[in-house]
Amino acid sequence: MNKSLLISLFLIVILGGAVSRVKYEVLFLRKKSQSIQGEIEKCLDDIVVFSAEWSYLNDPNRLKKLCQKHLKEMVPMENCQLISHEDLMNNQYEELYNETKEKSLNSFLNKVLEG
Amino acid sequence: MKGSFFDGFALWRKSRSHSKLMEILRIRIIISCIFGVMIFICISYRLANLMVFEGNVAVKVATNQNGIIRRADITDRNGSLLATSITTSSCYADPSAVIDGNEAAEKLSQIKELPTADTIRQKLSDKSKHFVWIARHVTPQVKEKIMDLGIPGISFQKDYKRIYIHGNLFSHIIGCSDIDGRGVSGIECYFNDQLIISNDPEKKLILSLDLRIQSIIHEELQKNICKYKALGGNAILMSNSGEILALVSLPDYDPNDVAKTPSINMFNRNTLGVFEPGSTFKILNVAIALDSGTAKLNSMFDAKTPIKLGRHTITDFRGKNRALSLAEAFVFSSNIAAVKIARNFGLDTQKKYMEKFGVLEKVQIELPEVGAPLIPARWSDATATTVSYGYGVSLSPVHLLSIIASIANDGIRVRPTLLRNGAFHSDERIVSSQTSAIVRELMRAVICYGTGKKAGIDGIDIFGKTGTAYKIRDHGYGTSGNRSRITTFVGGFSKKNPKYFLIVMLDDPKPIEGTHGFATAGWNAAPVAHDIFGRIIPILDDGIRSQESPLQVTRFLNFN
Repeated sequence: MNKSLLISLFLIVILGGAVSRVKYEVLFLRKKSQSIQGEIEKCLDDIVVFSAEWSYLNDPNRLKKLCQKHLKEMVPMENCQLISHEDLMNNQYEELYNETKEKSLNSFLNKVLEG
Repeated sequence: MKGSFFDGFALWRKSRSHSKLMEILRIRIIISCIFGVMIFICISYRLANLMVFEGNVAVKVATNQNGIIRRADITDRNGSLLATSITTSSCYADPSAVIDGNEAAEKLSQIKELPTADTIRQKLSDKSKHFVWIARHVTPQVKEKIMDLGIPGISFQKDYKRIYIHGNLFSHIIGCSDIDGRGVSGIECYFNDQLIISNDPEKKLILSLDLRIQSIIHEELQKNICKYKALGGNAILMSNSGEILALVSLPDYDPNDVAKTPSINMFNRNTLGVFEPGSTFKILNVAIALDSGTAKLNSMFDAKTPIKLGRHTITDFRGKNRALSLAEAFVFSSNIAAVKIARNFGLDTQKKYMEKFGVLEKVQIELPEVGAPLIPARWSDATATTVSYGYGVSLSPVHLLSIIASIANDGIRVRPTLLRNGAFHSDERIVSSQTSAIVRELMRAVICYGTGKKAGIDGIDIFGKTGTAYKIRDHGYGTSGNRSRITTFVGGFSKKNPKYFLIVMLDDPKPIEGTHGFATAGWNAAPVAHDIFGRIIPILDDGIRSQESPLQVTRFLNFN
């Protein structure tokens, strides 16, 4: 009986020590986790602000004003500049295509020669 | 001491037989185990209930602590952010911990962004309270100034402020939320529960809207409202799947600053406003006639004599004063012929088709602000007569567009939605494919030869119909020269393969220089549609370019 009592007491002391160590380890890790969580939250908040700013900077009206200011020679594309694939294959556009191609080639060659 | 205890125990043990003792012990152990297991089961059940079945509630309870709610982001179909919640700080006080309320109020009121000294003093006066807001969503600079004052009992709490990045642009769709982050109008209100999140920044609501298209339509509509001196206007662009790409209602408001908004600006004309559709309703009239087989394109209707209806006389605007084919009646927008077409198929057929088209039901869309159609209590002969040319029933623009889109979309029902991929795929047919094709031909003829000429774009098969309806005021439509109009253009592109549908409405446009004294839809709503089509087509699709004359219809048109 005395022997078993001693073993029990010894185990209690060992387990108590282990539990105490685990407890402090948990407290330490929890603190660390909270700090990391805080950092994550801060990063996420920053991402939200940056996303909002990015979206604000890409506001179509703002972009339009910037284009009008800095890209004066460029204008929005018009419908007549679009062509369907079927129409492109039609003969009526073949001539136009060749003409444009020739012009582009000539202008390119001129630039090369001038250069 | 120890010896006496063991001796006592030995005596007690001797006093009972061993088997009886063991029996008692076993019973006690079993009872204890049962008791323990029952407690364990109860705790497990409650935990499972909280975690699995009431998980959302628990999250909400956790989220709603102190009334602080973080709402999920809202984006357009391409992922552009439209609404988000940013982290801010809110200043609060514990009046019981504030030593001198007057001094604190005086000091705090020195910061101009905070309320006046009297307001703060009043808030701090009740010492029984432990929490009162001083200022919500303060800037970091203001927070620093307050902290520098070092007043005991004044603290800060993390808070979220809802930001609507594009201001007015989406005001009538997204709506707004209150200072505590609860949706009060628009999508914010309709999806309030889904938008309230705990800590999931990835969660977002993707709308069917397109920022670029919305911006273009907003700009063009605003420009033309000024040009035609209209009171307001609205427009919707919808794809053939029912996804709404743009929905603009003017005047609008800035949801970031609702307090300064006049209530009239918060009225969504597209979904809440109901209007008599005028001649655009002739699309339904013709579709019924063709689909029911009571008339063909070459069926003739006498449009020479005005029709008497009670005190009123139904006439044509710049009428041809002769018999018209069904095609001519539609392209020249004859009211007299429309009535005769309706009388030809009869009241019962008309009502049956109105039910089939969904005219009599409230349109389903993901907004809380939806107006029910105004329908006469009894579908009389007079109702049937006026409905044929678009009077006597009132619908919201989104409702009208969804019906006309359904007729033009090969006769398959189109249900409007504001969610990306939220379209309700149905194969519910409301008119035959053949009827739909002829109606599109007729609408194309309106663009080529009729009142919709100004909406046409070279190289694109736009189809449409204009409508001018007088507004009801003082129990009537006013007298000549004293009438207000609502002008409408409804149409789409392309005729062969309709992918997009547009409705444009102007409220009370005035005749201006260049409209020759007219203020009808062909002179204002159609040009607005032209401006919109011209800018959105290059963005939307480059595979729709084709131009065909409505040959099937043209042979039944006489322009004299």
